[in-house]
Amino acid sequence: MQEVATVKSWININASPFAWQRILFKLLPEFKKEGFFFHTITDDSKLSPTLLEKISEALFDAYKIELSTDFFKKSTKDNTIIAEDESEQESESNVAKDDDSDIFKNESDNSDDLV
Amino acid sequence: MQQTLQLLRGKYQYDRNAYIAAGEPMIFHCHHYNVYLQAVIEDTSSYLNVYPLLSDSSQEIAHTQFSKFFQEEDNKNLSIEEKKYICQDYFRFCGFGIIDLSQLTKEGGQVVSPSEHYGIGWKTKFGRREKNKKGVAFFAAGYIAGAAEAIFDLPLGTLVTEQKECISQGDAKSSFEVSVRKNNTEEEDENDLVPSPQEGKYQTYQLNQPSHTTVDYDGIRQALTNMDLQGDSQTGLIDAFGVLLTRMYANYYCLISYKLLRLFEAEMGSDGLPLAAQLLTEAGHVCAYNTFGGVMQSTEWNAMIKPMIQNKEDWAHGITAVVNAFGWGFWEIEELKANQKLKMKVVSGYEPNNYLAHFDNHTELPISFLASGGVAGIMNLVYNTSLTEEFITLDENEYKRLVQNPSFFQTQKHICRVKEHSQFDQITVGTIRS
Repeated sequence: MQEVATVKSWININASPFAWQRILFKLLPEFKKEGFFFHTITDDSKLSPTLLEKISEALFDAYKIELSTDFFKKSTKDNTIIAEDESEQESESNVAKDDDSDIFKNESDNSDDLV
Repeated sequence: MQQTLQLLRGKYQYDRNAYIAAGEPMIFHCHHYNVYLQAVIEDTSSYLNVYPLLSDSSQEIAHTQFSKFFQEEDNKNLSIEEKKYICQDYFRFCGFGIIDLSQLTKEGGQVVSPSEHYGIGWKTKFGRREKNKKGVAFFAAGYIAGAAEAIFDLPLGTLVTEQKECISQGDAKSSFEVSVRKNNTEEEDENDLVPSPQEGKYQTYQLNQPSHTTVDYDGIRQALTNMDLQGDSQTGLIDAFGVLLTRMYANYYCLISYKLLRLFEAEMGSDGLPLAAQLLTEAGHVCAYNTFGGVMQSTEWNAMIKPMIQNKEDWAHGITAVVNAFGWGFWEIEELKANQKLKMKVVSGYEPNNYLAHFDNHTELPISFLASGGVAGIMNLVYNTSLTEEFITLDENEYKRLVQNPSFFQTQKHICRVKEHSQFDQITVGTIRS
């Protein structure tokens, strides 16, 4: 099975910036079917061949490209999706989090509201 | 007639930084934003019924605007043909394209558009669209239905438009079929159309001149708001600053974005809302990159604004001064640290103006998506491209390089007028350093 990080990186490089987010947006119900909620999808979540197929179709629909065949060759025999334990994971998204840099240290307390 | 057409052009209201035409706030936006935002909304079409909201929203606005305009004392005696001409002319003036409403009756009819902003914009940005998909001119479809209802003095929601041909799919023209809407099913009843909130909860303010820049904010706003930017007489398009501009209804963006979020939350719960917000914000960033970038390399910029510029920070001031002529409300730089941080105050932003009037005063998310993406776009253009030193081609490759830059600027903090019940939006962008 492929990790989200690998697929995401490939898509954002080969399709378009934010393409991964758009693909995810298109396929949220498909991810849900396999036990993933948006906030449980992390970079090391594993994608089943079925989801990879869906991702490839969605990529073609939006960007006229398909996932490299290498992704499918490298998929293991085990097709079971491992939905990550959400209590141990942070959201995959690029939603801005508290930043350690000095310039933001003294801001008012609403950092969890950021997009 | 010329005088009537001129009245519908509206006026720039300097006390709220908005173009108001028959009560509707009009704002400048480019085809990159228009079609990208629509594409993001369409991404959900396999699980959400989003197509009606794309056309119903423009129908609500056009009906509200034209009904109001035709009811004004000076316009009460206009003939049907004159009203059709006015709606066609306004479509062209705004850069939406050319439409022929001559065949319309109160029962509907055919409308042809030899040139249409979304169809051409889509094809330009994304390439030719597959024939097995719907056409992309949802905005025009709704505009036509709403205008037709106003022309024939029909209630909002009487008519509906279906697109038959689309320039985006290689057709020589876009064409539409207008008919009486069937509202008999329960499902249809749920989609009842409602009038536009028009100016919504706008705020009045004044444009302030920052002391630490030589960029003349008021001079730039005066010059730009008096520029004759309107659709070409043949194509109905506004080809300016390297993009196809529109004088778009502010409420259209708000309605389609917020209706999407409502629909999404109702169907999928709140789990994926941050993803939706992220993509709506990215649409704003795409807009900033292309429109701001185009403006900052334009003849007008070089002639009027560049001579005022002494350093990189003045580039950020220059484009902020330009934004104050877009109808997006007041954008005021509160803090700018070179290559580190930009804190922008936004007063009377068109997004909260709409949300507070049309939806409610509660949201789990900051809702000024365009403003958030736009402020980040300013920093990225100034500090993460070489645009201030040389002419650059604002294409997909350059955009990829920009987004992959480790110093990419994003919104770090967004105090939202709706979410935090604050007096104004305050958006702080910085780099995400891993």
